[in-house]
Amino acid sequence: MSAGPYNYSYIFKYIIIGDMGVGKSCLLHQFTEKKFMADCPHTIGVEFGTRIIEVSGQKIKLQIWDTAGQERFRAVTRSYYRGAAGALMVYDITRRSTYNHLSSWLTDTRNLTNPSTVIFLIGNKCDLEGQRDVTYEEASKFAEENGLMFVEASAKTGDNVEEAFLETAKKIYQSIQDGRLDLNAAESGVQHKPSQPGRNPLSNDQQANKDNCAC
Amino acid sequence: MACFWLNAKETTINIFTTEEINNVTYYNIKVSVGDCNWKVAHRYNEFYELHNQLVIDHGVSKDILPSKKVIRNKCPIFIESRRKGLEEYLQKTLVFLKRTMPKSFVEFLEFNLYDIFFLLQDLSAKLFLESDQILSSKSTYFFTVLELHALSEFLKKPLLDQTETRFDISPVVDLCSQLSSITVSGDSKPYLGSNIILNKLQFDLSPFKCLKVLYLKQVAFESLNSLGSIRCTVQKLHVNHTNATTISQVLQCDVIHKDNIEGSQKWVSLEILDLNSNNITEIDSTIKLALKVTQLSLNDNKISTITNLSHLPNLSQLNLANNLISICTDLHTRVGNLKTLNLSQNNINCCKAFSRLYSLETLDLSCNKINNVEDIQFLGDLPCLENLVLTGNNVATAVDYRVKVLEYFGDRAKNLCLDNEKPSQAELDKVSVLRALRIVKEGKTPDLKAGFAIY
Repeated sequence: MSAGPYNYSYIFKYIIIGDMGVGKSCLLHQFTEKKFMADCPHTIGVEFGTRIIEVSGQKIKLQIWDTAGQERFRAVTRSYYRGAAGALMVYDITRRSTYNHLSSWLTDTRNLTNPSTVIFLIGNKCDLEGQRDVTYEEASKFAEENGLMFVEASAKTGDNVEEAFLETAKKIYQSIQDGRLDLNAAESGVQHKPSQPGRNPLSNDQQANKDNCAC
Repeated sequence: MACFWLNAKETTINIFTTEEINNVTYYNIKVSVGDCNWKVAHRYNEFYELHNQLVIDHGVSKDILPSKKVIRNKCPIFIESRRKGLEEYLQKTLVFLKRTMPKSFVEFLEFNLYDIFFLLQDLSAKLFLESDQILSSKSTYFFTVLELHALSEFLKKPLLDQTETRFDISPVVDLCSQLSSITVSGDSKPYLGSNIILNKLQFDLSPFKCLKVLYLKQVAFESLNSLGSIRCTVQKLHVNHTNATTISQVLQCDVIHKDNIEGSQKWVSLEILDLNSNNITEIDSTIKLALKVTQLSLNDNKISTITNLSHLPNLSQLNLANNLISICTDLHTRVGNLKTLNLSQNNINCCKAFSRLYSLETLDLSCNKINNVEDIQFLGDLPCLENLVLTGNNVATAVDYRVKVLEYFGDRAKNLCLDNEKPSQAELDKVSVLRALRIVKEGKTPDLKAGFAIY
């Protein structure tokens, strides 16, 4: 069974957050499809993508929730924070307002996720150097003060996109190795691949539901 | 569809009747959640087991279940008092457990079949374990409209913050985003023991990101809100036994103003379109949204004329069996590229329209109203025709029918499979004799068309 693309040992849950139009969906698309989506529609509620990556020889499946940036969806998107192992917080380097809102996004994230959630700050659209509104140094300082990982990326050219997702996964994997992240906690955002007997993070209630359907 | 978390205050449980089946008394429970209700039947023993479970795991007080009774438990007065007791028991337990809703209680009352949240919770647990197996099996995965409705409602309004029981929807969405073939089935009758009508539930297909094959069975297109990326990915679309009467209802199901046919509505990958067994009355111009289609099945509908198919340059197989087609003229101007044409079980009485479909390899005209064998001459010049079916027409009952038909194909007769049967040597010999006789009679190589004009 576990051949080909279905061969992985962990599932990590990510969320992507940030103001409207900063390029969250494009980052996801660039990461999952390796393509730039030129006229990306507004996300309604949430979108979803997956990709299997490799960290230190371990195959990991990333389940990525891409949330809507529009204020009216805030209530919907908030319920997806819980149980995220990684949060990618995105701003647009050409629009200062999106940078200014970071602290409110950070508050939300800290309140709604668990302490071991890895938060990664991404300054998107770094291909538009000419229109830059937020300097690298400034954002870098903000990240350092708040203990975030930080990179400037471009969903259009693909620069640093891969890195951001992979670095986050590495950090999460590290916390598992260090034992800082409890795999069996329901909210950790990390699961073992199912079918590994005895290590299933689902509650016994849900386990009992497993039937022998082979379809 | 029910949603307990939004309607906890409007949720009631009654035991309205009892009935005896095979010497066992069943209590008919009716669960109402808002506008939605359903019926479940349980015997006393099942209440007893549930109760034990709830006492052990969830601290339900021990003495609220009516006690067991071994003898004389069939007496109507006793049953009535037990009915009341059990009804009260369920109502008390619901109040006590309304924040936690443990699985055993949920399943006893079948919330997991009819409630958005509990149904998805079950589905998610199941798919978490099985999704890899489902994906590697490559076969089509079955969804009911109920499940898709629950999913789209849940994605709009996740409800998780209002509840204590929690689950992760990711396994469901993850599977949906990877599935390549699904079957969605609806129904216009009430679903199982409930008052839920599947075809009144709105659903959408946007969670499916790389779907290639889509089967829609008995669904109502007015309930399909969004197709997501399906127009770009789906290669085979099968729509059967639905209420669709026009092609526009299918191909433009998510479009409000159906008169505007726009480029963005094109089904860019669609190659096989199967619309058999619906109530379609005409091939309207929206068919051009499926511009890449090579196989089109419209059998078992109510179509009377062949129109608008010139919009489909790649069409090579067309199935219009069991429709109401009586007259067709100049088909070569409409469907000139066809290799396979099935027009069986229609009302066709003349073959002239087919005379210039020069690409045609297979033509099925069985069960029509072709009466004269002379009519077949129009097919004689089709250079690629290899399969011809004429059974079920009056012409097929004529004396020497096979030989007469084969004669029109001249030298090609030996290559033609008539009514699924290759011509025998005896038949071919007869054909040669007939041709020779005609040459003698007319003093030249017969020109069959001219010959017909003399008759």
